[in-house]
Amino acid sequence: MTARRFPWQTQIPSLLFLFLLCSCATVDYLPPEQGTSAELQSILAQSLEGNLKEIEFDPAGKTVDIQVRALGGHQTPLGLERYVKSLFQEWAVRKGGKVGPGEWRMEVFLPVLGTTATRRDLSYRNIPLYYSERFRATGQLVVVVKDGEGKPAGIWQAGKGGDLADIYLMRILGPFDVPLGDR
Amino acid sequence: MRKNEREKFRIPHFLVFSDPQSNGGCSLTKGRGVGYALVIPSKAHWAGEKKIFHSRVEWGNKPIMEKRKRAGQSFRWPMILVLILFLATSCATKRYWGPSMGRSADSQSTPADALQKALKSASFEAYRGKSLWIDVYTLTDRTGEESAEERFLRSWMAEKAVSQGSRTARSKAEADILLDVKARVFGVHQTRRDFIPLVYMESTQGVVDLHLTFYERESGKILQTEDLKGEARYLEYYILYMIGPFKSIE
Repeated sequence: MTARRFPWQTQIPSLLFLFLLCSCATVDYLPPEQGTSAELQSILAQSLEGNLKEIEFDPAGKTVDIQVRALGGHQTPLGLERYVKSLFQEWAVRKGGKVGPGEWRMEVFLPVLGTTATRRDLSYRNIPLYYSERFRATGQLVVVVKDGEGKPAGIWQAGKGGDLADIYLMRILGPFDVPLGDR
Repeated sequence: MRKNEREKFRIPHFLVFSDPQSNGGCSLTKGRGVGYALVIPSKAHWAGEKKIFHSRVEWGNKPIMEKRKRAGQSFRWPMILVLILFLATSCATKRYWGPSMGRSADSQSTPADALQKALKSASFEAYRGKSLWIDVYTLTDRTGEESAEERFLRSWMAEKAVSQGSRTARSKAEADILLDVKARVFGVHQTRRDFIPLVYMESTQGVVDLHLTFYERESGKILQTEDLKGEARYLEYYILYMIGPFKSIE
């Protein structure tokens, strides 16, 4: 009786299959092409702040001249260097030090500060079933502190990165944030 | 009315009620509906229940109308299927080709909205009458020394400070207060969602995360730090990849 009154009920699986096989499935996710994406900035900032905590130098009562050298950044490292310098300045002042030309010289090197993005697609006949984007930030920080005579008073290295993954199912459900452990 | 007569009897616009007192336990009354009916009284009627009419209608053999109806039903589903397949081939796609088109409107409006939200709680009242020098640091792209985001943020912050009674210093050396604005995030995050072929969505999320540090210029001491965050989301979606866009702003 039910099947007679609602014949479409028996055809739902085939209709759904037809839905999924329809055209316009070859769509592409367009990553942000306009400026640096919010996620990228966030993960870089987290990486930098995490690395800063690992520096054991105590600037209390010292006047420190901070110089930053970076390889990364988009097109020019100037912005990154200025940002890191400002970060170290606040850190030094907060710990009781001063920033400016003085007897202590702090050289901060950023040999690596960048991200890699991995995209994974699982699709059947161009129908995306599973799709994920994973951002990994790699940061290396080398801090060299020299005293007034130019002798190294300490060298610190930090290498905290960041990891962020978003997963989408069928490109509609999500993003599901995935907690990622140490790699 | 005999059973075979009832089966052949055709009345347009009728509703059939059973009446236990009528001949054969049935009667016909004009009402809604079209077709043929065989009416069988319910048990309560056989037991002699009066003046309360119940009906149980069973469709019998329906020579003309039913044939037409069945013919219509047999066409209905293929037509729906064809319509679905026709709509399924539609494809609306929002396109942006950066950077030749400049920064898109969505990518400008969402961080600007997010910035307004973030700065709602910012207060410069403590520095009323004092001169401020603002430096902005971001992790955004640039070709020169200062990025577009830094220039915009610096000017916006200066306006906010001036509107609350502060002054902007002509040079760093003349300032009473140095304000460092570190933008951990000032940008957009864009997500496209497809549920083929039913729904297609484009969302642009503007995110602002600022860290403000106020220094006293002479002593170099930190007077105040503040974290400001704001988010704005703009969503556009299309139904069946064709109908829309439907927009929402949060």
